[in-house]
Amino acid sequence: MLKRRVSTKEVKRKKELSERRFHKRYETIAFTEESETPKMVVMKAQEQILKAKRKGISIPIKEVSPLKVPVSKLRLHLKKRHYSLARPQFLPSKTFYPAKPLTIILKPPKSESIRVPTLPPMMLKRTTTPIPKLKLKIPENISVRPLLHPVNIKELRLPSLSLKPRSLRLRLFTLPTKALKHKALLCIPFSTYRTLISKEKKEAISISPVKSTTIASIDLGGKVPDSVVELFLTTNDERGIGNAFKYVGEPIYIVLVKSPTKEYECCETIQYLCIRVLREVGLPTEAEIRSAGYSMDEIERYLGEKAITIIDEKALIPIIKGDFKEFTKKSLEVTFENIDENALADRIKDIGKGLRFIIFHVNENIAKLFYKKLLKVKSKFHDKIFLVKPVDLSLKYRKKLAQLMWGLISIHASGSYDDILGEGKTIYYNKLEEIRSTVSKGYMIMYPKISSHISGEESREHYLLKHFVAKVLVDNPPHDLELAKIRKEERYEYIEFEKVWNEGIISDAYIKNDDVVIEVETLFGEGKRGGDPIAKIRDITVEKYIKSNIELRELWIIMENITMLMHLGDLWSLYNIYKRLYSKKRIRFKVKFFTLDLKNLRFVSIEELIDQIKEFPNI
Amino acid sequence: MSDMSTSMKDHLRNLVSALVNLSPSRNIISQLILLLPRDLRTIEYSYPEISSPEAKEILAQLGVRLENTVRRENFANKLYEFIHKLFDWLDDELVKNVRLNLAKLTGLNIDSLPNPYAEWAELVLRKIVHEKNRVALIDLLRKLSESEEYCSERDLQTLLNEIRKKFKLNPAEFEEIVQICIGSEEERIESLKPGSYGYSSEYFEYYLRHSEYHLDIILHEYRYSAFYHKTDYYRLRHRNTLREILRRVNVEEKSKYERG
Repeated sequence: MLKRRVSTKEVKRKKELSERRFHKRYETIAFTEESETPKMVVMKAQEQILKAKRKGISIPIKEVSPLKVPVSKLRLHLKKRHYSLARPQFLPSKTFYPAKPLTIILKPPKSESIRVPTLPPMMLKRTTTPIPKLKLKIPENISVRPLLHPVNIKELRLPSLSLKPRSLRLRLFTLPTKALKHKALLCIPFSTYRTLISKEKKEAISISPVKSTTIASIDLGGKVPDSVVELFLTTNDERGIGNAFKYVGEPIYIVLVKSPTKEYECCETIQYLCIRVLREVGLPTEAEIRSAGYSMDEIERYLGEKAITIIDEKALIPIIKGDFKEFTKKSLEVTFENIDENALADRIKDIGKGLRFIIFHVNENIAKLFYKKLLKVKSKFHDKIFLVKPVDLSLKYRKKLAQLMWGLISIHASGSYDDILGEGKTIYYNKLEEIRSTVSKGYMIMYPKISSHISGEESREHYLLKHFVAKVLVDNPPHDLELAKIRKEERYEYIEFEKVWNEGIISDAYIKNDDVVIEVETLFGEGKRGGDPIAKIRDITVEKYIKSNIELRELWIIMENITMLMHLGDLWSLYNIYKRLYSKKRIRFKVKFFTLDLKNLRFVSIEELIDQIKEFPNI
Repeated sequence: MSDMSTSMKDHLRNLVSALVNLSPSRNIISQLILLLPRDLRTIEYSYPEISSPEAKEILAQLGVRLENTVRRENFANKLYEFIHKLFDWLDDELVKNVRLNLAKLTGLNIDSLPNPYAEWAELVLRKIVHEKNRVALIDLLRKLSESEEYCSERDLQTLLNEIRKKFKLNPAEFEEIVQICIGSEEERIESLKPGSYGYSSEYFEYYLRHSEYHLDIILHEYRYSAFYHKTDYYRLRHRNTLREILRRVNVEEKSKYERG
């Protein structure tokens, strides 16, 4: 292949081109001396290279010598990094043109003063005015000696009071119907009251002392029943029907009026409630029902042996020596008058040891007479005698009562208290067993593993309730929990049963990401603490967390509906105490009380339960 | 007897005066010792008095080592510890009602008996209020003084995050505020042997967290229970004093703002 000839012109043109490119490259450099143009510098360099080529020798290089500076001085000082909010800006390349001389101004680095201005030194001197000293006087004689001779009370007459109060505190029932709409306690001017009274029928004004308001009265705006028995039983006793089902350490005599119609029959319900009370105290719960055909000796023997004894009116025939059907009202009174009081007192003394329920289930006429007879002998031994009558609640409320007592389940039965509550109990336990079965089948797949109590015994109810808690937390957790935001399939990993803390505390359940501890309370066997099962919640369940350092946001106490209803008054007070303590930051976690809703699988708070109770006509 | 008791009172008054004057709020040397270790340049800039040879000699005698980083040694270290004790003692952190009892014993009005910590904290706060992020600083201090006595690390972190979000602080600014208010360096000040308090198996260790100006609000308490399980929580100190000072400083700043 022939090579193309290159003309001299072309060579020159190429040279010029390369020179131009070279010069262009060096134009961007900034120079301090204006006399030395880039072109001149390049020329000089080229000349040097040409000279060297002509001579045929290389440019000599000076020997490299180490810097004679001590190494320590070369060490860099790390300075404190000052953060600046000014962001670096990117400037366009044009801004470099034309090249300007670079001047560096050296300034001393800005130092931060850490000095805090001081106060002048001082010498403490005595205060000009001496501090007043407290002088203790000889204690005064404050005793008031009687100046008047004692006189017989009969001779004294009460002074006539002429009070002109500006305002009166009136009880609810004394107010006319217009005022009843407002509040339980009203404070109105006396003149207003007089005008109200004049319009309507005048009633007796009772001036009650001003009572201190409690949280219960503020929050609820009404009365909280002490116990569930107040919903379906009444008594003429001032102590209240609730006291008939509390531990007192002595036998409790209940004279239960037999309902004339069967729909208000509640003897078996009372028996069941007595069993519950005895279970809480931790006593045996054997029951014996005596209806007829027993001799006096047999009855006396059984009275002493069993924890609950129900004596029907027929069984009393040997005692009163005759049949009730044969007696008229007057002859009955005579018969009861003739009963030897000392003998009756002796019989009752014989069986008067420890908590025991003796229920006399008798007709209304006999009940009153029998109750009076028992009351006559009460001063000789004790006064735990109650005359109890079932409330005539309609079927709707009887069903409602059963629902409240048994986990808000739906009940289809109709009939007496015993029929409805009995069916409720059966459905309640069956439902709990069903939940237990479902949860236990899904251990570690869907539901957390639930072990029985690590230390001590555990009742069946407690065990079943733990399964219910697991079911609710996985299937339908309360919406305010973080747990509710987690996928259902993963929730079980965040729930731990029988959680053992390092401080030796064992929690029934613990929700990890919510810092919520759950304690299941059946109160069985806890009445040994002075016969007060609620003391267990106060002194152990809550107290152990107060004393510990466990990081806790809320403590939930889950109870059976019937248990919560039987101690409603005490639990409501306790709940309000903890609420107040938390608001004053004296405890670091909230304490909440819940019961069960088996129908909707959720927890029902104590407030909600009380709201439902308020619907009852007799509350 | 009465002369003796009077002289004892005078001695006590002198002692309290000495303690009060030892406070960094009233003495530049103890202030310098408290704020060490620092960069020499910062110290020279903040305390120009120390450039004289005489001052250097004084500081050397006290155990302050003037190098690139100014450090404290020997006696200066003890003085530093003592200043902390003094702060705590007269601010009722170690024993309750100390100033009240001292006022009674010396026959002085309690208001004329200074509280070194309160004085120091007030001076520091008055210096801080001129800083860039003063609002965030004051807010954080107020929240700390108003929170409960004990808090967990999570609570503290939540509080700090709140402040950071509220004032939209960048990491550097946030770090600066944390250093002034809370600090990061912890020093073990005390440890209780097993069984000396509570159960025989458990024991405690206390670490004081030093902030930049030694407001030292946080005491980190570690509790080692059985099997050496460790739980820790923070105790917030000097809360009442801080609350009172913040209120006072805030009122004065407001009045200045209204006037200005």
